Amino acid sequence: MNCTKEVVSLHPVSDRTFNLAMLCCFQNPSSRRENRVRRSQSSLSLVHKLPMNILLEIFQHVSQFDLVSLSLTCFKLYEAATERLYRRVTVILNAEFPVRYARNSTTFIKENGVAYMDSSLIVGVNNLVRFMQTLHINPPLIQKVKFFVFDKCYPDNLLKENYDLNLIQSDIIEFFGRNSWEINFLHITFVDFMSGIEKLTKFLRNRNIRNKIFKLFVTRLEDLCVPVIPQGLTNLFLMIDEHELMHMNQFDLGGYPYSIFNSLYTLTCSTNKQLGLEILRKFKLRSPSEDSKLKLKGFTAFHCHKEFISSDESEALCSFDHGDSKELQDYIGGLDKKLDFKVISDKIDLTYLTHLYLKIDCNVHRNNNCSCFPDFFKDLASYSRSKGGLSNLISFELELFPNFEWLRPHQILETILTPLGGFIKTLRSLVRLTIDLSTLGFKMFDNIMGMSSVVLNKLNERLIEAFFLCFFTSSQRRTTTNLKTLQFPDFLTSFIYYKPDFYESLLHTCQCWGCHLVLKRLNELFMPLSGEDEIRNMDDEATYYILIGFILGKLQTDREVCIPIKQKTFNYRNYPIYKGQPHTLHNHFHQNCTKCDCNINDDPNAESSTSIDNLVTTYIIHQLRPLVKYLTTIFCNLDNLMIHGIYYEYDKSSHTMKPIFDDDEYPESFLKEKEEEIRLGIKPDIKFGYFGGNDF
Amino acid sequence: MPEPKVIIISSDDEKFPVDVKVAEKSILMKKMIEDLNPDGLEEDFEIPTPNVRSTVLAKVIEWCTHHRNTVFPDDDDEDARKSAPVDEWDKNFLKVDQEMLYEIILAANYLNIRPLMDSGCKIVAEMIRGKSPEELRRTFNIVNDFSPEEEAAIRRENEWAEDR
Repeated sequence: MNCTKEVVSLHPVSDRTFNLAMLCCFQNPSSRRENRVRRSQSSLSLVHKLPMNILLEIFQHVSQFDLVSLSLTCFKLYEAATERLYRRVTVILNAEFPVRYARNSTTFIKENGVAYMDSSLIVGVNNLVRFMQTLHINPPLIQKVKFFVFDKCYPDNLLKENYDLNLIQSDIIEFFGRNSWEINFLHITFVDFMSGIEKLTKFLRNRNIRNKIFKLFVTRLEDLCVPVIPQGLTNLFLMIDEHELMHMNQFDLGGYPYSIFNSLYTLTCSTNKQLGLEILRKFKLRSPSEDSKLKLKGFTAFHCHKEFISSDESEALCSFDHGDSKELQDYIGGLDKKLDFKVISDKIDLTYLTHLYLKIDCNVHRNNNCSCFPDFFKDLASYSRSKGGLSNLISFELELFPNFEWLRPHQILETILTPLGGFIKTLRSLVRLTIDLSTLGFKMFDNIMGMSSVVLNKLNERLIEAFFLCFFTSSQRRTTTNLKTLQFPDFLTSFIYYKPDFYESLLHTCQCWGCHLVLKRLNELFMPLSGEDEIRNMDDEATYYILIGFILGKLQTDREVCIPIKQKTFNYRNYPIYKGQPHTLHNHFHQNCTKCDCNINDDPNAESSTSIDNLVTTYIIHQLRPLVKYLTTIFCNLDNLMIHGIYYEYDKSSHTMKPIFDDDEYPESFLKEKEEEIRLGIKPDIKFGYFGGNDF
Repeated sequence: MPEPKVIIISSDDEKFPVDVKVAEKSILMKKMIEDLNPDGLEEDFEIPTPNVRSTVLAKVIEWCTHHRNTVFPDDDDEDARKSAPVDEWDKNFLKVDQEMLYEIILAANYLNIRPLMDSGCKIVAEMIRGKSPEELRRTFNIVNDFSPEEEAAIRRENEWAEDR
């Protein structure tokens, strides 16, 4: 067997391949262990006294490092410790931790892995390779893995170390697909999304996988029941192709196989062209009575109202591709694609819902004044009021679809914010609210309108107030007092309009020297911007918009906190975060530069607080301060707040919101240049934007 | 007329009369009282606990009496239960020899007293934290029943879970 040890190399594979199958010849150590007669334990020992279920209870409160030590003490504790160690495994490569851990992964894992995330954590690719090697060497161990999560990560840096993440992910899902009988839940955020969907679909077709799994992702209806409907199916994600939907008369919930829908906890309805409500429309309930409606805990719909208007209209308005068959085009063209709340309320009893996630939009109102979006929320609000404010609903999330054509302030107020606010304030028990209007970039007004930046900022304030103060009207204060978690992933682009005068914008409200130095540093590092003449010739203010806009875009779209499944509360302070591509500004603006001060080699993951991406993030945090104060004045019991990718938690000692994953203040070394001015209380002599007079 | 008592009887036949409120800290006893006395207790009610020795039962009752008015996190709220630190009184209360500690945990498990079981488990977990395999064996009287080859194989097997 010695020769096999050579095969179990712990070094990166040199040819960027990852073939673990070759390791299977290694002897299974646990089979060897079972064949021996064990020395007996003392009658007073922990091992002798406590049964397995109690040992497992105890092992919930120790770290994965302790579990490794326990597994080495004796056979009985090996069994119990590995049961716990392998039960839930979460892979979070390139993850960053809350700033209080000062990038110390050991302390983070000790304090949060098993204890808060209920999971062993793998934070390095070397350990991921070791984990898979272990499963190949000792296949029975895979039956101990009940939950496996591989979260979002950035593959490029790993590729530099000769790890092809795509291959690793393929190996993992294939290996689990072949061997696991006990898996309850497997989630991989694939680096290659499209092939990932295929791999996931193939994985879910394994009969052994359907033994214990409780969540199913279905792209073809046949996949619901072939080879067999999972016995414990409670969560279903339908993403059906319109071709199949076109030929589907109805989903009869009164008989096999769709009767399974009646016992679901959560349901997601989507199609390839975002016509999720069309699926729901085809549900035929088992009887016409009110009682036969689905009693879901969680419901998610992906639906966008788009119409084909004429061939010269934007493709974004069209619900089908020109490559689609005539039959399909006619089918989609003939559908009533408008958002219609009745489609939901006819099939689902929403009074049972605890979580509602709507990714819905109407692209037609921008051109044709369609009112289906506001009508949808008016009907939803009316329903909610008639059902006592949906007292089970604790989490509501709204996400729109990205749209290049942004709405003017009066339009966003009329068609989005007012109807949305009208619904939210009816909710009796809401504790978690997320609103993502998916605005892609700055909404800019040029200077020829004759409106000053000061007036525009006031307009922004009024817009924000019109939405948030509506929660105070009449006797509806409960929304403002109940909310514990509030999230606005694109706040600075969705709620705020800009003019070219950067210095007077709401992206430049902080008058500290640190913020001044960040702009100076951006100037030194990146100006003039490399690229086309149009970009190179931009003035400083336009260039700041571009540079800070890049970081805002990254904060808005890339960041993802690794939240364990089945969490009732959201303790962001106990979870890691994926922050996206390191050195974003460098990668976009120093492409042709052979020498720069971005410290790429010494800090490849851009973890240093003086990395320019991080300095700009701190800059953004400073500009957000008046907004954070404003929101926490309205929502007075918040534990967590996320604005534009910055996660805050309530700090009991200072009674303020503090960023969890980012530096609130600039490093002293960075401020040294202006030490004297800071000491004397002198402020930079330039213009600033004002929000609420900046007097919060 | 004095309030009827619940008489808890240990495995060695010692009787412990307690108030209903104290006995009801045990979900097992609470359900027995409710099921067998649907109109409430009208006279003393005996509950045998054949798995619990008198010395252990005395400790468990001491805990229940101290916490008779304590409101604990919901049994179903696993997050809250796991994250709650062991309170100071419980820490002192559970400063007992290991055998007694294990028996209290077992009794709490049997009698379904979730908060006591959580405290006991957390105390044992505290004794485990940061110790090497050898230190764990010494602390918990564990006999190493692995061969050196097996130990080496396990060490390799779980290397992925170490932080490096």
